[in-house]
Amino acid sequence: MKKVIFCLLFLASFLTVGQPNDLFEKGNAYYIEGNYQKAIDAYQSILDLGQHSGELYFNLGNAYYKQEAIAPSIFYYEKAKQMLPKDEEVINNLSYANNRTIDNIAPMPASFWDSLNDAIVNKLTLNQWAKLSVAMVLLCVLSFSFFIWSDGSVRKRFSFILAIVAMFAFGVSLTLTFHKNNLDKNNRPAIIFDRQNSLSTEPNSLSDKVIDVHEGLKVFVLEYYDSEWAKVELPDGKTGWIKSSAFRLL
Amino acid sequence: MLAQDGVSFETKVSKQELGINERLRVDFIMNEDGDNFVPPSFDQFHLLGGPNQSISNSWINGVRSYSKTYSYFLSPKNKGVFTIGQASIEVAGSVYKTQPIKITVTAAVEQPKDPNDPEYVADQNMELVAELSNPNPYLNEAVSVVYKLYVSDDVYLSGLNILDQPKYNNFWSQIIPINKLEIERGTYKNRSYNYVVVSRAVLYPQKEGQLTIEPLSLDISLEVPSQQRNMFGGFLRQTVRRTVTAPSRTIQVKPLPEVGKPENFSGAVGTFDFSMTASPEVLKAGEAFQVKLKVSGKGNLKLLKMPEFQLPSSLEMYEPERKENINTSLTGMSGDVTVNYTVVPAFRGEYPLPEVHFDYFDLASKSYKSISSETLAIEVTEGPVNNGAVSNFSEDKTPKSNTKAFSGFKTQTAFQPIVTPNFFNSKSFWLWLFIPLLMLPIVLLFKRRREALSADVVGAKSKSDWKMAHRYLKEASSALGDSKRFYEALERALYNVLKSKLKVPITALNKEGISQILAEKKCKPTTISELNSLLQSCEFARYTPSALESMNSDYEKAAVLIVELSKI
Repeated sequence: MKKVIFCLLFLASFLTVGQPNDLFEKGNAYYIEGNYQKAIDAYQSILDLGQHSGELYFNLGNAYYKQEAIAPSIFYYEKAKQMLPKDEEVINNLSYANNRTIDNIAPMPASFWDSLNDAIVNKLTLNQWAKLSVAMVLLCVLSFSFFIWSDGSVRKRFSFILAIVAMFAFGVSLTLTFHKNNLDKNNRPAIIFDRQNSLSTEPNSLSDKVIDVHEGLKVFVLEYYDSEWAKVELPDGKTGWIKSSAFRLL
Repeated sequence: MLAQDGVSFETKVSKQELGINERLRVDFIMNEDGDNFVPPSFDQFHLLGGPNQSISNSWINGVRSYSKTYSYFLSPKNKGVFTIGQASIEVAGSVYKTQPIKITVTAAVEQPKDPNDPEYVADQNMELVAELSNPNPYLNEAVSVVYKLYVSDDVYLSGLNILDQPKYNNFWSQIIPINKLEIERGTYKNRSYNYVVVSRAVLYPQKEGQLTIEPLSLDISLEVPSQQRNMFGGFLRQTVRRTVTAPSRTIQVKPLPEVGKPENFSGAVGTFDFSMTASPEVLKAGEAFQVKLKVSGKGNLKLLKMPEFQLPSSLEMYEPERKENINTSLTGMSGDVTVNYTVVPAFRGEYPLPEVHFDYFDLASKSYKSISSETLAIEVTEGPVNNGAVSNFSEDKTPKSNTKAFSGFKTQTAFQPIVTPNFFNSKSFWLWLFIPLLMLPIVLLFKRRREALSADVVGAKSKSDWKMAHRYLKEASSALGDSKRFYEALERALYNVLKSKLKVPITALNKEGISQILAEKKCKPTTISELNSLLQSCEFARYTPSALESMNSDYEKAAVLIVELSKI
C-alpha cells in the first residue's frame, strides 16, 4: 500500500514538472521578452508531451513568424486553423504569413461538390459524425420501442414519426460518416518547407519542370512513390512530383 | 624535246633552286607554231602571272628561226622539292611533250635589295605594330590593343587612311576613338622612332582558349628621299604609297578558376562594390517604394548580369529599369550600373526583403568574392490585410477591408491529447451501432408474447383471479377436514368476496338480496344458483357434519365461483 502511494506521489510530481500549462506560461513569458527561440522550445516541449491545442499552435506560428521563418509559421497557423476554424486571430495572422510567400497561385473556384462538402460534411469531425450516427440509431430504437409499448394513439403516432425520422437521419449520418472518412483519407494538406523547389512531371530529378514552388505554399498530397517522391496538387489544380522531404504534412 | 622532224618543245625555268620568298619564271619554248597548248598544273605554286605569249620570227641568211614562248610567274607555297609537270602541244597532227623539271624550294633567302628603291626605303623605315596590354588574360578581363605606326626620322608620313578596322571576333570590344593623330617619340627595337597611335580598343574576351585578333590594314603615304637632287643640291623627295598590315596577334584566354566558383555566377570580373537600398521603408499600401541595386567599380560592367530577387506575391514588382554610368578607357570600364525596381505593396504588414548576393571574380586576389546586401524590411503601416489564403491581386482589386493588426499570442488554452482514440471504426462504435439494432427484434418478440398473453383474456385474468380466490379460501383450506370450521370459513370467504365486489355491507346481505344484486349486475343465472346452493350447503354443514370428499368438491366450487364473481 505504501508503495502504491509512493508511486502515485512520484507520478504526480512528474506531472506537475512537465505540466503543459506551466510550459505554456513559460513560452508566453519568453515570447513577451522577445526570446522567440526559447518560446518555440517551450511550446514544442508541450507537443513532445503529447498535448496540443489550437492556441498553442497559434502561439508557435507567431513565434516562427517573428523569427521570419515563413514555412513553419504557416504550418502552425494551419494547424491552429484546423482546431480553431472560426478564430479570427488565426485567420488574420495566417494571412499575414501568406503575404510573405513568394508563390501567387490563384485557387481553383470550388466545385459544387466541394462547396457541398464544406457546407455539410466538413461541419463535423469524423468522430462527431460517428457519434451522431450512434445517437440517431439509439433514438430510432428507443422511439420505436416506445411506439410499440405505448397505448395512446397520439403517443403512438408521435413516436412512430420520430422513429422514422431518426432512422432516416441515421442512414444519412452513417453515409456521411463514411464519406467524411474517405474525404479525410484523401485530404492530406502539406506545407512546402524548402526555400525553392519545383514540381516535375515524373518522380525523378531529370524530368521537365511543371512549376517552381517556394516555402510556405500549401499543397495537397495525392500519392506517394518510392517513399521519396510524392505527387502533389497545387491550389490551382496543377499536379506534379516533388521530393517528400520538401514538405511537411499538416 | 627535239624530234626528228626538227620540232623542239622544252621547258626552261629561271632557277632550279630558290628561296620560298623568291619567284620562279617558267618558259615553255617551241620552234614551230602549235595548237592546243596544255600547261601542267601549278598547284604547288601560287600563279602570279601568265601565261604570257611571245613569238619571234626572224630570217637570217634565208634561214627562218621561229620561236613561241608561254611564260608563267610562280611563287612557291611551301619548302620542299616539287616537279613542274609536262606541258603538251600539238604540231601538225602530232603531240609533243616537255620533260618534267624538279624545283627545290629552300628557306627564305635574303633578297638583294636595291637600297635606292623608294618602296624599299619606305618599307625599311616604318612598321605597324599591335601592342597588347596582356596577352594572357582571364575570361572577361579587359585587354587593350593599341596599333602604333612607327616611322623613322628619314621619312615623313604625309597621309594615313585606315583601310580595314580589325574585327574582334569573340571579344566584347569598344574602339576608343582618336580625334587627332599626334606624333610622339618612342623607341622600338632599340631604334628611336616617331610614332602615331592609329587605333586603340578595349577588348573583353568572351571565349576561352586561343583567340586571334584580325590585322589592321593601313594605306599610308610616305615621303622618301630619292637619289635625285634639286638645283640647290638637296635631295628630292618622292611620295610612295604603301599598304601596311599589322601582324595578327593571338591572345590566350584563361578560363576563370572552377575552385570556389559560386553557384549562378553571373560572370562579373573586376573589382566591384555592391549595395541594395530601399526607399521609403515605411509607407501605406498602394504606395510605391523603390528597391535599388547598385554595382560600382571597375570591370565588365556593361556585360554583367545584375543579381535578381523574388518578392512575396503580395508585393507587386514592376519591370526593373537599368541605368548605366560607365566610362570606357584603355584600362577598361569603370563606373556603376543601377537597377531600379518599383514595388507596390497591396496589403499591410512587415515585409523583410530577401538578402541579395553579388558574386564577382576579383582580379587583384584572383579569387571569387561575394557581397551581400544589408537586410532591409519594408513596413506597410496602413491598408487592407490579405484575407484569403491566396488572393489574386489583379482579380480582386478591393480586398476585404479587414484592417486588423497582427495579433499577439493567446494566453488561455485547454490542452488535449494529440493522439485521440478514433471513435469511428473502433470496436465500441460498431457495438453502439449494432446493439440497439439487435434490441429491436428483442423488443418485438417481447411485445408479441405479451400480445399473445392478452389475447387469452380468460387465462390471463383467471390466473390472478385464482390467486385471489385461493387467498380468500386460505382459512378454509387450512380447516379442511373439520366440517364445522371449514364451512364457517367458506361462508365468510364468500361473503367477503361479495362484500368487496358488490360494495354492500354484510348486514344487508341475504340470499335474496344477493341474487337480486347479482342479476342486476348481469351475472350468469348458473353462477347465482351455484352461489345459492353453496351458501345453503354451508348452512346445512353447521348442523350435519359432511364428508371430506364433499368438503373438497365444495372448496373447488367456491374457488370457481370466486373467479366467476371477480369478473363482475
